[in-house]
Amino acid sequence: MTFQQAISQNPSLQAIYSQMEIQTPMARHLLLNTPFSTSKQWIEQQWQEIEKCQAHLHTLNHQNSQRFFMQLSNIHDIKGSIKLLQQNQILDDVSLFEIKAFSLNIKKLKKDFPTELFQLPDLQEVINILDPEKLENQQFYIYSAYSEELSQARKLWQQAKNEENEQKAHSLYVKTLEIEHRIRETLGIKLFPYIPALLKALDTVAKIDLAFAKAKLTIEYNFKTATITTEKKIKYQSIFHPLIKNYQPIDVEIGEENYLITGANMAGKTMILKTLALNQLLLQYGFMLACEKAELTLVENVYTSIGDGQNEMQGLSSFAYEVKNLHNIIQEVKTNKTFLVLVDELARTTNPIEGKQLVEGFLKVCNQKGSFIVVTTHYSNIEAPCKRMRVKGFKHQELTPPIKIEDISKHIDYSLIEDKTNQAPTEALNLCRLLGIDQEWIGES
Amino acid sequence: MPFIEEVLKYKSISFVGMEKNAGKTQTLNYVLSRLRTFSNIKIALTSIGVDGETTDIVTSTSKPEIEIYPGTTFVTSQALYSQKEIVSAIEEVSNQYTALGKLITAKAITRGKVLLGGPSNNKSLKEFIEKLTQTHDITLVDGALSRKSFGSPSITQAMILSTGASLSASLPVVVKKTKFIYQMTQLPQYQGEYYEELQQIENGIYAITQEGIVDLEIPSLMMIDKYKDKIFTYGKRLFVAGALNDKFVQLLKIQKNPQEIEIIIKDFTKIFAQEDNVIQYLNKGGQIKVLEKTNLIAITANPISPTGYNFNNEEMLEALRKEIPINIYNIKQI
Repeated sequence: MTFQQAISQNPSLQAIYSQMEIQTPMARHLLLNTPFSTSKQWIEQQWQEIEKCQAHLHTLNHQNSQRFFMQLSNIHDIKGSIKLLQQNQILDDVSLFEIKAFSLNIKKLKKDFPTELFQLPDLQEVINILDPEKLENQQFYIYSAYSEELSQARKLWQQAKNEENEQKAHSLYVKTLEIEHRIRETLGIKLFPYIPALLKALDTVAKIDLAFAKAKLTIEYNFKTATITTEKKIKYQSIFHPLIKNYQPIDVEIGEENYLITGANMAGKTMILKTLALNQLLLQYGFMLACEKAELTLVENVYTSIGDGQNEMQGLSSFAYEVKNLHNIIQEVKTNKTFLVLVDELARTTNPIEGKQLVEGFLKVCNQKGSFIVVTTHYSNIEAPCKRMRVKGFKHQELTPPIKIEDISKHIDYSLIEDKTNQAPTEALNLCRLLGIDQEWIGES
Repeated sequence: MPFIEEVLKYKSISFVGMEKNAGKTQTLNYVLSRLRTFSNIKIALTSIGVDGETTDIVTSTSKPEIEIYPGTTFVTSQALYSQKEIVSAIEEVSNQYTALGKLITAKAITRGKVLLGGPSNNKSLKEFIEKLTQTHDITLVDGALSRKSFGSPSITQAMILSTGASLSASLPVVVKKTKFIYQMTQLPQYQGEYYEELQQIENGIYAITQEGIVDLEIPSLMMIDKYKDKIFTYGKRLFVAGALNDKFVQLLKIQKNPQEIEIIIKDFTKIFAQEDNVIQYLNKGGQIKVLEKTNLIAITANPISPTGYNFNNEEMLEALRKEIPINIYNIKQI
């Protein structure tokens, strides 16, 4: 799965992506085509690059940092021109200008950003070919300095122009164009050997730009690295959702045992799943993570069943969509590969008796298959192998009804605690009371 | 050397022809050749989009006609750049695409001719002109006065208008039409409340009241008859964001107290109503104000029409000068 596919499926990741300050189309392309990585080495290398960029950003004052990003944004994608060069086509002045401007910009960047981490190739030879007057300015045309013949032809043309002999001038101009054409041909031949260097430079600029965009994100959200382990665990200390304001960081430790979360309505169960999904995606696309510390296992894929109302679009009933999706997930889990599976309120739309059965069945069939399984539920008395967790919930001592909906979150402790019973919390009516819901309805009048 | 001193007072000037062959390009060439004598002036040149002449340009039948001199910066699109007859150095290639390719900013190395084609929407044209005026003393814009044109001459500080025999075979008609455009350029600028807010509005009709701007929710001025009763619900100061059409002006004209009505439009090019109706409305005391006012520097007139009939030069100038109190020249004689 590429990053592009992942953002189309995960709104949180999409939101993170839209906040990234990527300067060049090359970096955007690189990121969107990044595959979901299961290579510890690759991820750690990404982190190293981010750290280097972070360190570099800290050395820059505001003005220099702006200048640096401006420099990056000035670097245009010249893949089109390089392709023409590869095909032995004659480049026009616009393409030649773009190659020259690109090479000059790379030279500047190389000077301003000296690092052993990103090896920008030396393009001085390319600049020399396109700069016969040795001015090193961002300008290009077929200079008279390229050939004495051209220089003479242009003089004759200008002479005719000064004599106001339009017709003669025009035919002399056409002659200069023929000479220019031959020079462009020669320039193509001279530039040909530098195609690999130009491509390398394009690729490196993309990497630099992307690493800096990630570094900025890391600084903004205070992202951290983690330990990548093979010990089959997903363990976070103070994990948070970067896009939710005042998110209370929580600790989570998921092992080989199924992880069942219960909790009252509005207690943030769904958000825990979304946070876990987002962080696993960030990890395996080479970002740092929204947590204080973590020990994490790399998974083959992240599967979610989180009702977001998207299923209505498919023309299936929400229940049919859900079970079909879970069926597919089970088939994957049965292959004994390692996945992260996040299921929100399994079978919530059906009756509690059958619903409970479906939850138990799911937990049983997924048990000890090598995947990380996290399921949230409202059902009590779930009989299946699992580690039971509960969102701590309302801080009852502080509560005096009625409470505004938007203030509810202030009165909830979102931490997860191990639950020794198998009773789901019965806080729904409690919550109604707090919200000042019609008393006759909830049977209290 | 008429009107060059006037030209030098402004940072940006558009050249507008009332009709094809009215002498706009000649006027532009005249100004360029005059400015050349001030060797230290940095000149930039671009154009307002591409209008009715698109087909000519795409089928590349049009020839480069604007003559520029070493050091002048010009902006054009990729397709038109290749049709130049000049040695020029590319200095910038914009990422922005027009129908005719990327926009190229280049500097003339020799004397020669260019074909201009600028950004294809008003916003980016405005940005381009702003950028050019930062690094140049004067920016000249090859403009258009057509409904089809994307840009309006009001984005420059000043304007030179070209008129002439190509407009009509009848001299009185040419005078009348030219006088009308002149009068429209003289409409007063609106300086009241909500000026900035009004600038942002792209379409619709609004009443400007003491409480604020009220959208009259009239979808189109074409359907104004259906909303006759609604127009003055919130007072008689109205802002028309798009074109001011004839139906609307006719309606204004027959109101009881037209002198109480104040219509605000973006700039004079938004007036698409019949000349007579606009003039009658104004004569009855009705007001039209503009958000953007352009200074008309001069009018050039061309007595020769491409279809063969010519005016007597002196008669033409005299007739125009009698009606229009501004500098008027025959571009061929200056």
